[in-house]
Amino acid sequence: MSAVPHALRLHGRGGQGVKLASHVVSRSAFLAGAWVQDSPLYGAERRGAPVVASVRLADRPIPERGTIEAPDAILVLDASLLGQPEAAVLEGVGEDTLAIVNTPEDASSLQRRFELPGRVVAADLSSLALEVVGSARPSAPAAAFAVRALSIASWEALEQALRIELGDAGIAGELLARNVECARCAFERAPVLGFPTRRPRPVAPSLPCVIPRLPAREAAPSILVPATSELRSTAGWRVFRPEIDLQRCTRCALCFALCPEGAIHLSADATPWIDAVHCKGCLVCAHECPTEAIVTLREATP
Amino acid sequence: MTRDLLTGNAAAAWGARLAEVDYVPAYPITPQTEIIETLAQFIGQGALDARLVTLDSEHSMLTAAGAAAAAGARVFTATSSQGLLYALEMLYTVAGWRVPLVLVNVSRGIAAPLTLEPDHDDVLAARDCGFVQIHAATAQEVLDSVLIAHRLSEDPAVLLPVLVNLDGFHLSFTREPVEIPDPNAARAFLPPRALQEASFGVSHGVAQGVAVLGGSAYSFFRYQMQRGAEAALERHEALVGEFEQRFGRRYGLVDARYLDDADYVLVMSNSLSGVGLAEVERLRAAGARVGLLRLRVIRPLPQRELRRLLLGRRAVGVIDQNLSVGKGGILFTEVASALAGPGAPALRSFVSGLGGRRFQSGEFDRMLASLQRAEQEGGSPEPELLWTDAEERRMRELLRVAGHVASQERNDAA
Amino acid sequence: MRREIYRSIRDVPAQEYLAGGTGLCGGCGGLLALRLFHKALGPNVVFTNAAGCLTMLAVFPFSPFRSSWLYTAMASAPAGAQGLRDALDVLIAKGRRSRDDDLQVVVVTGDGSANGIGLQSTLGAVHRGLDFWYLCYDNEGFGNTGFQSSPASPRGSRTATTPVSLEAPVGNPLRKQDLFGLWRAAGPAYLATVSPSHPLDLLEKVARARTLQGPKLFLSLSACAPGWGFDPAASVEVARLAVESGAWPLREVMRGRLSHTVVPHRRRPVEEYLRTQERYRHLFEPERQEALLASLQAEVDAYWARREDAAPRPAPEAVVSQRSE
Repeated sequence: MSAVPHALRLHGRGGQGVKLASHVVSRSAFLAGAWVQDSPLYGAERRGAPVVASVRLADRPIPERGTIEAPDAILVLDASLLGQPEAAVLEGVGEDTLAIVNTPEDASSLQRRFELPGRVVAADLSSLALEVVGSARPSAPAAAFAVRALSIASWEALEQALRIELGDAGIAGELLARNVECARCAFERAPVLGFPTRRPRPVAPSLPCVIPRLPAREAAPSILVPATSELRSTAGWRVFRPEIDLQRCTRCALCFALCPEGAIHLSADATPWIDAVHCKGCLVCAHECPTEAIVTLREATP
Repeated sequence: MTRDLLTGNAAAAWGARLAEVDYVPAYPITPQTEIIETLAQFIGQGALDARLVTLDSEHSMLTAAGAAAAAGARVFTATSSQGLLYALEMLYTVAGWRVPLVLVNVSRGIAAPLTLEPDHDDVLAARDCGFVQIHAATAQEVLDSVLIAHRLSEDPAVLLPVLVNLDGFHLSFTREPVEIPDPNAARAFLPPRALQEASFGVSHGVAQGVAVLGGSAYSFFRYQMQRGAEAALERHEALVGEFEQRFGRRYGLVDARYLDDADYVLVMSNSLSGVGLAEVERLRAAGARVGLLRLRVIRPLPQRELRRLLLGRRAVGVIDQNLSVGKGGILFTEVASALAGPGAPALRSFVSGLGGRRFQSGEFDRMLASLQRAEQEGGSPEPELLWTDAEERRMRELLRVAGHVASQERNDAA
Repeated sequence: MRREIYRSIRDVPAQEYLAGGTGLCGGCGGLLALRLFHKALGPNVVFTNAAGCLTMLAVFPFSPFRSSWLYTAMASAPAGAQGLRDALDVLIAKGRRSRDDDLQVVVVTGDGSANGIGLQSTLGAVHRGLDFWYLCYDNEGFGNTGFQSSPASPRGSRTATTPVSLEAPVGNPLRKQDLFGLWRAAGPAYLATVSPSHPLDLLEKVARARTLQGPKLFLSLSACAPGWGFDPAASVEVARLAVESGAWPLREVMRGRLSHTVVPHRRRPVEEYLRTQERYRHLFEPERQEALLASLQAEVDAYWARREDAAPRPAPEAVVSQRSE
């Protein structure tokens, strides 16, 4: 462990256990004797929206605070975030940043597709979780994979950390045992790389700007035009997407009426269609459809 | 124009009447209540075309005030003391909305212990919330300041709420002659509120007061409030110039008395500065070159004006009618920071007037002597809490009655 | 209740007044309630909001509203409505605002605000007879802060501040506060409970209330996937079970008279509703808490046995509930 903190930034979506994964990683290092710091970043978004957590590790107290701006490594629990600029997964990621990505895609293809500048390690941890635990929630195997790949702690320390942190999250009994087993598989599958040696970054000069004096109405935190939220896509929130089988659809309009987002519209002939940009994939429509005319498809993972 | 005898509270109500306010959300509290009672009478007589609604708390009152202002109404409201503190969350909120309204605060000490008489712990607790603060010393100034405050608040470069402060009892319930401007002259100075900045319409929806997440964006809007306050300082100078032309009375950011030749300056605020003025005149008659500076606009703090008037003096004493527990006088800290740097005079801090405490005989002589010593010894950050032997003896008797045994023994031993 | 305007799902207005792209959870029952409510209200509204999940609808610079929105504070959204209504009235009366530019004023708050910190300002506004709408989305806890117990949390439910343990097997030991009863005592012009699982009932109630001046208060069940612990897809189903089990009675008070607008004549066992949610799992695992389950069922039974409008009135929620029978 070094005096300059190693910095690991985790990315995922609300509900995937990003915070839990960060806790397992930092607890493992803590049990291995390191000084650690972990912090999630809470935003306004909810389940399904991008979530960030930071873990710093060192051999002495860590003065830095807040979200990591230039990570030594990133752990990406949901590869679809790489294609979403607003998720800022690649912020501060350079040639000497290691990217660990949960995806069935192979590393070189991922690297080309998203122009990842540094080394990429890919592992299909969701499938592993689905297979061993029975849920696609990748937090435990992802944390284990990262602990091994970054040489953060031994299996013994990791196992203890899993029991503590998953236990605190209310996971017990058989479910805990399966998670530990899944983590062990991931741990054994990971290549041992250690944190990359990073070149010191030059300090960019500060370019100060005088705060302008705007007319007060323009200087207020008001939104003066309607419906600006439409500019944002929530397509990336979806794990599954609904599709309407118009052969089976009876045009009853129930899906339209019950979509919380108002993302299902009716054409002039009452045929429903789904606004794929603003559908969050909650699947209320599919659940409620009386004729089961709405099928759910796993979002494409190339 | 007519002249009449008005209390400070009645003067505040007359200010709102002449401002032809649209809306008065209200909640009673001593010593402010007379203001809303008077306005209710004006409305009942048909002299003021406004709606007065008694809310369920000052917190609700300020919410209603801010919301009505956001919808385009000219809004006046008033409170005191506990009420101001109860509303404090909304003071920050409505200031952040950037809406114009005028709030009169009638100063009263804060519980515990519960009291009715004035000091400025209430109004200075609202010092940092984004309201412009004008502290008035006379009933005339109260009326005039309410008119000026509405103009300032609605200025498109400002759009910050304005608080006008007056002391409970010494001003609120004290009658003195007041010139009441002619309604047409008042309307010429303060026309009905223009609606171009109003929000919320059928064809112009606005989301106001929304969450701003992220430190940079949040900072931007807070910085903009600072810019708005700075604009208020400049606009105030222009407005009081126009006010003087129309009504013949001039109000500065500060009120400077006998400063031309003053080696020593006492800084005060609000109505007790009148007592200070009488004492300064007495001391000058005895040959002391002492002057008085009354702070009138306290937010934004007129730092340039303070530096212009106070740098180079031999010593400056700040008399605070408030107490930041664990530090001392709040205005002392403000003045000291405004004067930081080369040429700063020796500074002394005095605290008096809490809960309406009166200055005791000889205390101004003592404070002047303290300033003269400061010139030799240098200033001090430690507050001098004004207290006299006679008060201590009376207090011990009260403590004895209340069964404070230790005090009784101390008394007996003495 | 006889529905006169909204007879079938095809009568649900097509116009959307809330844009997509907000940061609210997928499957949010509160958002669905607001969306339907807004459809019946029409476009010309100004919302005033108290701190809660729906505050996160508008986060600078993104807002879903085509109408207006004013976030106030947790305690005083109804006072915001007072200021808005008064300002609109006064400015219109003085001719400084066109009568065509009038708006309906609508409070939107969660149950945390409505049942506690915001109750005083609510009762104040009702007492003053303020002409306004009030939609409380009741997800039975402080959802926006991670689901702590609120006065609206039901007895026997788990929240972040009423965890379940061997020592405290019940979870939340307190009864859900009767906000409907508190509001009713204040004497509003109109008062109703609604559920987004019964959209026609919801829409029709708004249409009926539109004819009335004064406070029009709506309490909507708002199934909360993360707080209650269910798959977001089940959001409407869970709410429907609450209605069909009798745990969430759909009712209204108009001109002082209470009536149930949807009467589940063969009520499903409350257990069927509870079983859908993680927050009640401790009632069934590791072993069934029979006494607690029986008392929760007994509470519902007692409610329906005592109800004021006991005369049977068939009013099935045609489209939505037909599937579940």
